[in-house]
Amino acid sequence: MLFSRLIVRRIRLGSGLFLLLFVAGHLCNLALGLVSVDAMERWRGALLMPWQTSFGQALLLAAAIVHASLGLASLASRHSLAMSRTDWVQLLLGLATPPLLLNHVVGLQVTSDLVARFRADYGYVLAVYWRYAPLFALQQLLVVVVVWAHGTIGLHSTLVLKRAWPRLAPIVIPILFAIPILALLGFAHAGEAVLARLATDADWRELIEQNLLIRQEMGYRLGVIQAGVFLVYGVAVAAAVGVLAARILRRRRMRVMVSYDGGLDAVGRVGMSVLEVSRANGIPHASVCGGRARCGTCRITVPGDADIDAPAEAELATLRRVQAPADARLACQAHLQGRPVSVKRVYPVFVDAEAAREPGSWLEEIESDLEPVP
Amino acid sequence: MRPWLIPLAGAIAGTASSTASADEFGLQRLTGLASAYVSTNLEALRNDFALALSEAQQLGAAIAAALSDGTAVRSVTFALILVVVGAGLEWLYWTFAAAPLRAIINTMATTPRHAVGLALRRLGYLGFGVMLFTASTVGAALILPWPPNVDALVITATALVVAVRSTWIIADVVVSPHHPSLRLAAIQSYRSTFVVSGVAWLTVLAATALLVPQLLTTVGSASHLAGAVRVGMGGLVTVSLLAAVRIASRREDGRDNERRRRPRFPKALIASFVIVATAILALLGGGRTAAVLVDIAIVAALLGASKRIVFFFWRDATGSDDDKTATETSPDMLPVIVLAVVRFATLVAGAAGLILIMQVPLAELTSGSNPFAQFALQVADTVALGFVVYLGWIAIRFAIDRRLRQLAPLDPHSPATENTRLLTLLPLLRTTLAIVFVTLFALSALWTLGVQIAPLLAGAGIFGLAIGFGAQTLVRDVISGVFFLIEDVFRIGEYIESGATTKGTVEHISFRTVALRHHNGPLTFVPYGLLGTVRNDSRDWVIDKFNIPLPLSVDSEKIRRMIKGIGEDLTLDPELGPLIREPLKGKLYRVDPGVKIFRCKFMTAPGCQFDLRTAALKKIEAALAEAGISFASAGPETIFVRKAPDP
Repeated sequence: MLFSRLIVRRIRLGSGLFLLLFVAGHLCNLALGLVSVDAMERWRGALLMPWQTSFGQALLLAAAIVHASLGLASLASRHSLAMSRTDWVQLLLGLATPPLLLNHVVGLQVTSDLVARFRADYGYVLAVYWRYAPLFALQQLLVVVVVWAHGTIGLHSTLVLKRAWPRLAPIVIPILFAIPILALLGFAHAGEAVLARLATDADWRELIEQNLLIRQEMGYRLGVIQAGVFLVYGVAVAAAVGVLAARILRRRRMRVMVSYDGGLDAVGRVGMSVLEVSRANGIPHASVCGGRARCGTCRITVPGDADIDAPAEAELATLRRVQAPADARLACQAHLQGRPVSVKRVYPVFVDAEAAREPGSWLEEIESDLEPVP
Repeated sequence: MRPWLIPLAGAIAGTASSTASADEFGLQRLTGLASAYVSTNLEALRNDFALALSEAQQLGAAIAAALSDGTAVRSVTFALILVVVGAGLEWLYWTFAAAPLRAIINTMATTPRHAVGLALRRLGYLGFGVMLFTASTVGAALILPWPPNVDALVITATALVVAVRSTWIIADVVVSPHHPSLRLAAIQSYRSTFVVSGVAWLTVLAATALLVPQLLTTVGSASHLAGAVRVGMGGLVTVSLLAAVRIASRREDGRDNERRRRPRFPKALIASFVIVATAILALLGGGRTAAVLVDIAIVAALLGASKRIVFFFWRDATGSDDDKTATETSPDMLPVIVLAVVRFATLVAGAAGLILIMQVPLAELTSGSNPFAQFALQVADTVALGFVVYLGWIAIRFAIDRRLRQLAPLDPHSPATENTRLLTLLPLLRTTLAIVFVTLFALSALWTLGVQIAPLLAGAGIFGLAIGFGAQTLVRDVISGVFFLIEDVFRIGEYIESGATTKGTVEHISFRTVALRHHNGPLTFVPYGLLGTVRNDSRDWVIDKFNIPLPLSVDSEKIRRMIKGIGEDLTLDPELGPLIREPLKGKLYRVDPGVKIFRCKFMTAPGCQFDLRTAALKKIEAALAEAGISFASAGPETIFVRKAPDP
């Protein structure tokens, strides 16, 4: 692999945060619609200008492409579809975002980049969405919720492992809720205003319709661009899914037995992580971060000669952080190689993020009455 | 004779023909009415389907209009706010509640009752999530300024989501697909996920069939489309139910193939028939009849399954499912009472359902003077009273039975324990209470039904007096029996004697007689009145005495010490020792010509004297043989022959 897993993880997180920051700014701007359309337009410079410079655009595009490709790459490098419910939600929301968003980006940003006299201000956008192309509006509304949910879940699952989270939560969570709600309300409020102005201000309507004409003239080129992006994205998704499917199919007969503490047995495939085996077999297994080698709660102890691949850098870092003993592994990173493996889960299944934040305190408490989880 | 017969025959034929014609007329009128009703309904149905398409087109046009004038965009914006608020808050809740819920799910339930407790806690966590979702969604929906008519849509959508999620949660908690120890129903693991998804699917269908047509009628003013949707969804529900019955019965059969199958009640067939009949009735417009049928079918199914359902929760106490005998012979008290309550509650709920379906004006009936309604209410009162009495009787009977089982097995010939008095009195108490309960219930029922019981009681008093005079001995027997028992003269298992011939072990005590088992076998039934003086041989202690004849030559003191030693030996015997109250002693009692008689004596628990005496004699014999002493025998008798006087 070109980069270590740890660096890839950081890049993915960083690009995601960068995109979330942009979306937050964009939604805040939308929320100003509660004041007036003019206010939205006035603040657009301050809130969105950094991203509308050519450098900012390039950075955004790069972040989007990197985040999407790393997401697809991680999907392709999976060994099974045994994911937590949160991961499924994240995967589906993430996959849905580009197709839903493409229209918006191409229709406004690309058009205004290509045609100088195209004025993509909020008045125009809202008029189009509320009057001329309401189906696009529904699509964009959906994408607001989809993107925000994806970003929020990702942000939460990162922050919840930090020691500062209990202090941060009362500030961060209300913001995470307020931004999309205010944005949607602002969108609705501004939309009403725009509809009223369309009905009364004939000159303005003229202006809007001219803009629309430009958009229609550009229609073919934009269509080509959109189709191209769709094609690339579709191919990428199909490739990722194909790689995953091929791997699962190829290894479907390469069974590996895993035995757990408490006399439980499970069957996995070569390459699957122990955590995936637990999930696929319905064996309770604590996992706060969902299998990203971040939290350390899926920790297991394995015999020294167990047939499992060697720990990578990310896993070692986490194991060091939680001060794990030498025979400890992270179940989400311990991949089966063929021979049967016997593992012992360290944390009870019901631990929450606190166990990841304060690994020592939890273990001291449970070490005494560590019961075999059925 | 013949002229007398002919008019009679004519009369009979006439009445027969007239009744037949009346029947025919009534039947015709009824069928005519019904067919008119049915054909009207079918006509309406046809109309629904004919007009549904145009109404759908109108609705589509309305939606398109709503899209272009901003209503739709606005509504969707607000709906997404609801999603953000509702789903977001619930998500936030689960970030805290998921861990304790997992902790509960991973607990092994030790007993089915424990599983019920855990299920309630799980239901609490899951239900609070749904409640939070509902409350926040509804709260947010109330604040937002919805375009006209959209609020109904939102309410319907929320209701749909909440209904489906609630049912799903309940099914999931009850069935617990991956945790057999937490399961609250006798469902095999391989079938559990199917049950949960089936319930969820049926709820989706049923909720849609109920809510969407209503919405179409009120908001979309498309009543024909609503009718068509209702029929379509109803058909889907019917097909799904039939499929569920089919799958359930087929899998059951498949599992049973290994064993030889007994012919059984065709549950699947009956269920399918009821489903189809309900669907047809609903289609033909007999919605109320269909509801009545469903109500009765559900009540019947619940009643049929109630024993299995209730005993499932006590399967550890009543033995496993295969162990039928344990369930039959010694059921616990609680499950039986719960079973009775469940059955009664099912019946009451079914009756309430019927009342609701038939829209019986209850308030009018209770206050009105319709004699039939009054009577029905009185009967209902009586049934409720009977149920309470039954519960009380079960509770008392089980309490007595359990106490009896704890005390001892009721064997009259086993050695006496300190519990014999309870063992004697409890069965008698049980019978007495049964009679009292039945009498009280009969009187109360009569009183509730409006029958004057005061004269009855007075009559019974006089009647009883008459019987009392007529059957003095009976009264004497019963009353002396009461006093025998109060004074604790004898208990079951005691050996009593009364007079010269009446003796035996008390085996059974009833109201009038006591049954005595003679040691030779015969069972004597003695009325208490004839018992008179009773000699109880089984109380406290007995003293046994026996004689040992020895030759005159023996040393009395030595023999006394020997017997005393044997007595001390006997007290050390592990079996007999504890029974001895005063050890065996012997002393010279009498000296007869040629024989010294030693009298031995010991005190022991009643009934043990025979064994003890045998043991003592055996030891004495052995000790004498060792000392070279034989028992006094008839021996050579010295005959003094007076010498004849010399002549």
